[in-house]
Amino acid sequence: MTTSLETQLRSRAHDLLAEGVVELFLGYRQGSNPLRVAPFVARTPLETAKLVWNAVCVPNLAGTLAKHAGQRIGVALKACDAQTLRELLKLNQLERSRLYLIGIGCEGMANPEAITDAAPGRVTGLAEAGPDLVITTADDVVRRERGTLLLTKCATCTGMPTDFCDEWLGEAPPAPPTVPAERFAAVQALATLAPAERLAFWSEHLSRCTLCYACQTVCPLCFCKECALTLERDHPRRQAREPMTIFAYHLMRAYHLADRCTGCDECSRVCPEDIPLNLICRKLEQDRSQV
Amino acid sequence: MSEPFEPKIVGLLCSWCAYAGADTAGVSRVQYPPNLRIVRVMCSGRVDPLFVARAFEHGADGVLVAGCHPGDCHYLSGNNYAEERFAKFAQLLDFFGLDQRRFKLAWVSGSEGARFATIVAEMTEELRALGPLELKVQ
Amino acid sequence: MDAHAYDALVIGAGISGMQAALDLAEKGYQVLVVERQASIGGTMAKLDKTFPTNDCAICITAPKMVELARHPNITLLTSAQVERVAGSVGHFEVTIWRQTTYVDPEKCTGCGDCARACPVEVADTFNGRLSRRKAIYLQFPQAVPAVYTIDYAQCTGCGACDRACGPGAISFLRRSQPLTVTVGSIVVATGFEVLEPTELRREYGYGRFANVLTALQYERLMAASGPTDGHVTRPSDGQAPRSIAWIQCVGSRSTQGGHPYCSKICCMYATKEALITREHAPDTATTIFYMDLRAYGKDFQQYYQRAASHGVRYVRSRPASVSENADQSLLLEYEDTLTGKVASETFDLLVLSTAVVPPPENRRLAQALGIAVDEHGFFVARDALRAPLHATREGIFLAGGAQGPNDIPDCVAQASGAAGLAAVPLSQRQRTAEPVPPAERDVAAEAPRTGVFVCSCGKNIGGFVDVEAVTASARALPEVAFAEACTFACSEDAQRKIRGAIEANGLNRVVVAACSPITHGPVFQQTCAEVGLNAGLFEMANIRNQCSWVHSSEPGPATTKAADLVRMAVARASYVKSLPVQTIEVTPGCLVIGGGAAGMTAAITLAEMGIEVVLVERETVLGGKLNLLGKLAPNDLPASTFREHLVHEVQRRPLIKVFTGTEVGEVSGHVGNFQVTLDGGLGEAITQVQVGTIIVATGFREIDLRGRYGYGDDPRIITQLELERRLRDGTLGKPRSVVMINCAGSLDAENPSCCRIGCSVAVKNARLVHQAAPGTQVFLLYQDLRVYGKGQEEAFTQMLAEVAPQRIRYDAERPPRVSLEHGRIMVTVYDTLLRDELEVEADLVVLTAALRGDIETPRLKQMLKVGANAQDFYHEAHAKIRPLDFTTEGIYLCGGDHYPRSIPDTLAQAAGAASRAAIPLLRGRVKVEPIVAEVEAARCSGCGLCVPHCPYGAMRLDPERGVLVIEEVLCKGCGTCVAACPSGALQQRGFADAQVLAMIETAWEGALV
Ligand code: SF4
Ligand code: SF4
Ligand code: SF4
Ligand code: FES
Repeated sequence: MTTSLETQLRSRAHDLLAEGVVELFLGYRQGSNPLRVAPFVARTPLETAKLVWNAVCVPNLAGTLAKHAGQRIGVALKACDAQTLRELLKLNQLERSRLYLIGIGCEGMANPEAITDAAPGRVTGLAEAGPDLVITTADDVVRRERGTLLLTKCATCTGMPTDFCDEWLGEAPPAPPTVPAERFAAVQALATLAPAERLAFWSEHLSRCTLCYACQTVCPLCFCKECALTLERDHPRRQAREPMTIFAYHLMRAYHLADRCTGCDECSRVCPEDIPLNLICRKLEQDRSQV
Repeated sequence: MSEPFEPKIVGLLCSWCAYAGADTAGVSRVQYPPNLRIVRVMCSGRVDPLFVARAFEHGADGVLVAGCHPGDCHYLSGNNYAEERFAKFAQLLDFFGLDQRRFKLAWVSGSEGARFATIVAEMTEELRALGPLELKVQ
Repeated sequence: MDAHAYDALVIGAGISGMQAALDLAEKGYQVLVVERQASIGGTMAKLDKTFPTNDCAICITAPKMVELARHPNITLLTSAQVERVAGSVGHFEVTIWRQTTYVDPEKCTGCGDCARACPVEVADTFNGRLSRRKAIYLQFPQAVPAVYTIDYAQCTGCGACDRACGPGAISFLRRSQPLTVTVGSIVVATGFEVLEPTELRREYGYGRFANVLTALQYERLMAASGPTDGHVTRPSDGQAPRSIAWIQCVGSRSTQGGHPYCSKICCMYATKEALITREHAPDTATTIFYMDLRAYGKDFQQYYQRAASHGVRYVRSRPASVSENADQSLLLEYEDTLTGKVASETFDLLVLSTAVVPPPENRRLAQALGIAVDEHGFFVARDALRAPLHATREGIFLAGGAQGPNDIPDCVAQASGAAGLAAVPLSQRQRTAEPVPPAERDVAAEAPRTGVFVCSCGKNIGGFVDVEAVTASARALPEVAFAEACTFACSEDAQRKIRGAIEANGLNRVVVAACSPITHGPVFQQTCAEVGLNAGLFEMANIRNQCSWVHSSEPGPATTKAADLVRMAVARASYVKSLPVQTIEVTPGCLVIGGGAAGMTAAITLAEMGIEVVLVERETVLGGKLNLLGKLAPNDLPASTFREHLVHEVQRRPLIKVFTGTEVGEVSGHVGNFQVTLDGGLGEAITQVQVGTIIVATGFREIDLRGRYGYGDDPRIITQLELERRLRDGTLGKPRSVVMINCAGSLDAENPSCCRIGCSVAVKNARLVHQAAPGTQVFLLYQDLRVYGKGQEEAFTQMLAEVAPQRIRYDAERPPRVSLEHGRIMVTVYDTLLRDELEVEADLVVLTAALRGDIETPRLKQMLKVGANAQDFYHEAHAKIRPLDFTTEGIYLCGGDHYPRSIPDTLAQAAGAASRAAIPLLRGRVKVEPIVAEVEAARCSGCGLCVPHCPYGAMRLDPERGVLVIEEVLCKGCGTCVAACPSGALQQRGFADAQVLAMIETAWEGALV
């Protein structure tokens, strides 16, 4: 069953490609299971049939967009993607004139973990029904209010930048007048700890870090051609995997992103060790909002 | 374990003021603890926070970055940028729970030899009290 | 005899002589330098620190000494003197007497074995006779040339030194010889001496009481390289003094008790000595007994205040006599001139700030040169006002202390000025072409083979650090192919060894572990260059200033630290690369901004050197302040006459293009190639000019005093500048009483500076008022009478006699008040000497207003990318030794925009700025900073984060390629952009990430704890 947003999106993408307004159209396609989607670039009007729009379109498309810089490209944007894209434009990584931006009235993405918690077992289907999500598993169908399943970043979404998109699909959700306080609840809690306790907190989490650099690879705002922090991996002085080496990496990653991280939380999504990297994102966001 | 802890400090000093100030301390024979290893750069603006992170990574218990007093930067504004950068960086150090006293940004003029020595002595003292930078990871 | 031909002769190689010689040599002229002493360096080499920046004197002198000795266009003769000068400008024939020192400079290694062998001990004159040396000696550790000298007067001829000398450098058969040379022009820079108050002012006990010293002796006591290693102790018992007093003006400012002139530098050096004494030993009580505290240079007043707030006590007084107590402390009797009380006080040590006097040698030299000296023995200028640097014989020029007391920046400015003028008669001569740099070895492909040289600096390092152990630990490092200890790495002998070791061992990196790279880096880089190693392949470990000297009580940790510092330097050396020296062609021509006395003089001097000048003046007429002034000190020449003279000199030179009524619009480019737009004002043409260098001579202005002292409320309350105009126009009228208020708007919290010239202006104008209206009663309200400049003290004394003004000393806390009462102007003032409030009715109030830099300075400094202080006075590159340069290369300054100064000083500076600005123009090419930032385009994402960080606008994004581009000539090499780039796409040559990180990451590797 396709939602109307999805249909609209497919037809707009189809037309834009057919009319030659864009050379590529970037969206999502279905992934290996109903809770997964993957960024997808449609190159022909025909391919737009593969585009999907559902409640788990989590990956940030802005990063994928940057990989196709230089081409005329259309894209379907959630508020968080748009915020990232705005940063990339500021940093000359993309040209606005080559982009065709379709804003989507995103109602917040569901947290796959919350879904599997709500409906244990293999999920075979996920559908939207008004304010609810309908989860189908092998032996059950569960209906839950969408709001209860959202990712934290979505539950406290700060909204779409105004006057940003070329067109709009669906209802633009009203941007909250102020950033919801819960957005920073976790960092706030961390801040109240004594430095030594904070150090212990991070020591514990970061001790799991294998320096796989997935967080850096996925970050849509890590636009450097090569990351200066991961360079010279074969240098004799770079072989250590001491705790401080890991701290230094995360410290510097945070520092580099300090002025731009928009809190899309892609890093914590991809971290195989479930390190709460989104706390860093919130911290950066918080520091910036205080300036 | 009766040996008292001697902190290891790396100093990143701008050539025109802070490094010259360290030289002046020498010329004036002002004594300070031998816990600092100085690295000269042309301007405090050259100091990438990465240098500080790497210093910690490679054994330093504390890092001192020093440049010309505000308005005195030989390159006009390098120290303003240093100040901006390290304000941000220090916040992050704190966020990760690294004691802020392990990092110091100071302004020292070429003639402030005695002051330079005091800064180093005080920092050494503070770090002695703080103990080594150890990240306990199970 | 076949006379060797040089272009110019410089007599004396103190700071003035050195600067003059370097300025001439840099222009491509062959210079012969003749110095009477065995080493160059002069008085400045004896000083501990310099005011008001507390720079270490030898640290800034030594590099100049070395530069001079190494300059390819300079020939240096030490222990020599000029005997006779025949001929005339352009063709002087000079006879020089070379005194033998019995030591062959080619063979002497400076090892000092001879001195150890010599049985004769004599007082060390370099150290003010506070220590002893042998009859064969080296003047001081940094002496240039570093060759031992036999003091003929003391030598017994025993031959012990000869027998001890390994290289056989000593020969008693070496004879003194005359030498004849020809030169085109001559600079006389023989410096000054200080009075030894054994006859004059003997009441202070100098020579009789052990603990009475001259300030120069005290300077040696403070100097780290002095007789007590910088620990101030009493000569009588070696104890640290608990109380020290300075007596000012000993032999100065008094015709009976010495010399009528003010020695100009003593107030500040006494302040410096007291301040630094307290910084070293905060419990020492320091007191300065002064007449007037003449803190009148740039930042001097602030320095004085800093000293006072650091507990230096100042007593305005008239010291009467000194007697010695049983414990050899000294009892000083004095009259406090503020309280009128007579008091006596005991001090452990007494320092006499004795008069600056000419070397006695001057009179003989004056005869040889055929030039005049004044009654004291200072050389006199042809015209004290208009030609302050010309001696009385054509082609001979004066600089520095040779012509009267001067502080270092004035000496340097005069030296540059004299060099500029001395270049004029040479302008038709062929100049020496730029020397081809020695061929460089290409070592890029070689694995590092590092040579390490560990210096013990005599005992300076070796006394606290185990130099052998450090050398051994260096030798053990894998990249190190050669390591050796040496006694004085900077001695000519050691340098020879370093060169030898580089060649013999195929070294491709050199690390010297010694003193500071700031003072000595260039010396070693030059050494390396001589055997084909690029300067970038050299690295220094600072194990003296930053190790042995500051850890002298902890030899163990000091040695470990030294070894660590060497290891860090070696680690860095493995990553260094050659720093290519690039040069760019220079557009001929100089832009002079400002058409006052300074700008016009600079323009004329440049034109006389054969250089094209664009002279820009904002007003519609040339002349600047000369248009506003009445008569000029010291000879009452009408300013208009002088103005006419200068304007005529400008106009008759086709090389000078004058733009009046024109402002400088925009400036872009860099040394060697500036593009400047000249804006002729509304509706006028905009002209584009291209020049190689720029001189800024925009002058000063009086501050706006409206609202203070009733200024602006009544036309009878005016400033000195307005008084000048009335005097000039004869509109003064016949005021019965004129009240001059000095320091109006100066020396207060808002503006702590002393305007420097105000007192002299007031003194001059008091006389002119008296002449114009003889019956007038003149009141002079002052805080300190700080008359400044050559001959000013004498003018002041004369004015007192002629005008008999009523002098009233007031205090900044209780400044005079001016009020208007029924049309009468009343001035109320608290006289601190009478300790009474006085009220004076004034027909005219003249305010000596505080001075600021030009009103355009804030705009101009942005455009020129130079700095200025809160008073809009420009920042020179270095307060002491680069007073005419900006830090931005190719731009120079002179005159009142640097700080207010007298006209003769302004003219000297202007000639000096012209000399500086001429150097790149005459050379034709300039070098680009080698340590610039560079972009690795493949890594640049074009994010632009770096761009706003460059203070020099050297970077921009290439919109086509989407990557960053750096204009290398604009880059000054701060590296700020490099740290701003997250991608590592930017690197700074010589300070690349890999190079800096190599040090950081090895700093504590193998550390002690
Ligand atoms: S993704 Fe996780 S494990 Fe990998 S580098 Fe980042 S924090 Fe470490
Ligand atoms: S090194 Fe300094 S001067 Fe050079 S381009 Fe970078 S910021 Fe500008
Ligand atoms: S900051 Fe680095 S990546 Fe960005 S434009 Fe500058 S050089 Fe290029
Ligand atoms: S040169 Fe010292 S901070 Fe820039």
